[in-house]
Amino acid sequence: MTIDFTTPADSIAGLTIASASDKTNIAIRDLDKIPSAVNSRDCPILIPDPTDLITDIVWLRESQGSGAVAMWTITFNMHYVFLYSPAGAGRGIHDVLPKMILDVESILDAIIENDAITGVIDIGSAGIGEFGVILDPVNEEFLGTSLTFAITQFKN
Amino acid sequence: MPGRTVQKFNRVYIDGYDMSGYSRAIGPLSCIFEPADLTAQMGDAIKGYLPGQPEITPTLLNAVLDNTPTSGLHVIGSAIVQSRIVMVPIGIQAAPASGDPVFMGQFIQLTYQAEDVDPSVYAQIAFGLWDVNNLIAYEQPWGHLVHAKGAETGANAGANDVDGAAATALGGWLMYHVFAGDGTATISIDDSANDAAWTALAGATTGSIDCSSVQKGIVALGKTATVRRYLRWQLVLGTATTVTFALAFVRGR
Repeated sequence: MTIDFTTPADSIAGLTIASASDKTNIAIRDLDKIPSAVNSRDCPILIPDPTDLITDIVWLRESQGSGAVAMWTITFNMHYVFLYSPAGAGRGIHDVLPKMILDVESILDAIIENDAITGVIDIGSAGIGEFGVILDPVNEEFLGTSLTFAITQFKN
Repeated sequence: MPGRTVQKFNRVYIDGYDMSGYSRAIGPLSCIFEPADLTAQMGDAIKGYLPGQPEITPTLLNAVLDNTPTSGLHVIGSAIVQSRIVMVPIGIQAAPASGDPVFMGQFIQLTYQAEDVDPSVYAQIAFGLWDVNNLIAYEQPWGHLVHAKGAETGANAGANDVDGAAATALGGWLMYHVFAGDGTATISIDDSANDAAWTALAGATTGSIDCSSVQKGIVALGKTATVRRYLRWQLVLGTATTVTFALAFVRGR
């Protein structure tokens, strides 16, 4: 195994997570399917954050030897954006917020409970951003939050 | 799968109960041959020493205190000074699978201690050495998983679960944990020289056991028994239609 940013994102995109909204499932996009602009019919949607995808990389040398031979444990954070609905949708925030929170719970449960996400040794939640107005890639306003996943990988 | 791993892929089975979900860490998983102390001072206490005999113990289980009825760690572990049949499969970068290393044995549980560590309440179980009332003629606690914990509903017609690289004539021993079932069944090990023609490994069987209740045990072969290169699990159903079990084997060496 070696450092790999694309396989974890591909595996997360392969999850099937039920939604509390009118949609059956939460749409989850891979790195090569991030929409240029999000429409209401795309929601609820979880996409990799194109402006801040990978942060906090830590390389921990676990053994001796050259860089190509030694064992490394690599940890980093992957940032995602969860867009539940366009801002102002529905009859008000009271109509949207409960179901949005349920969807976030479902996403976190699916990530934590899935032992078979390929490309990682371990994955967990490293934090949730503020619930509220969040921007899509073209700065349109949606109700949602940011999610950060902590990834652990081995190199060698 | 070859390679290193992380502890989330360990499992801990005690007396037919899966303690993995409560376990935080277990170990050191020790097999130590102590050197004889030939430098005793006059006045030192007399120390008994058995040459060639290791001290085998899983040492310490750190766990979360949980009083779930029947199967919770507190219910099982709070009865100390018990002889425990312990299996620790170590999954390699995935949940334990056939062929993965296993540490196992029968040990005396010495203590059960609960401790507040903010914000949780944890429990510690200290193990002593192999139970002297249940000694077997082998001093190796490390073997391989033949059947990862899972349910089976019929006989095994598949390929090998463990490739021992070569046949041996040094015997071996198996451990089984039956977690659930709905009747009687017999769990055993087949061996083969070519991973195609299989026969029962003589003596490597639980005999008929009632899998509708939790079962565990150790079966030791003769010290010169021939064990061919490839091993696989085998199941013969009696009244049971399904059995959930884990099975591991230590090849004599």
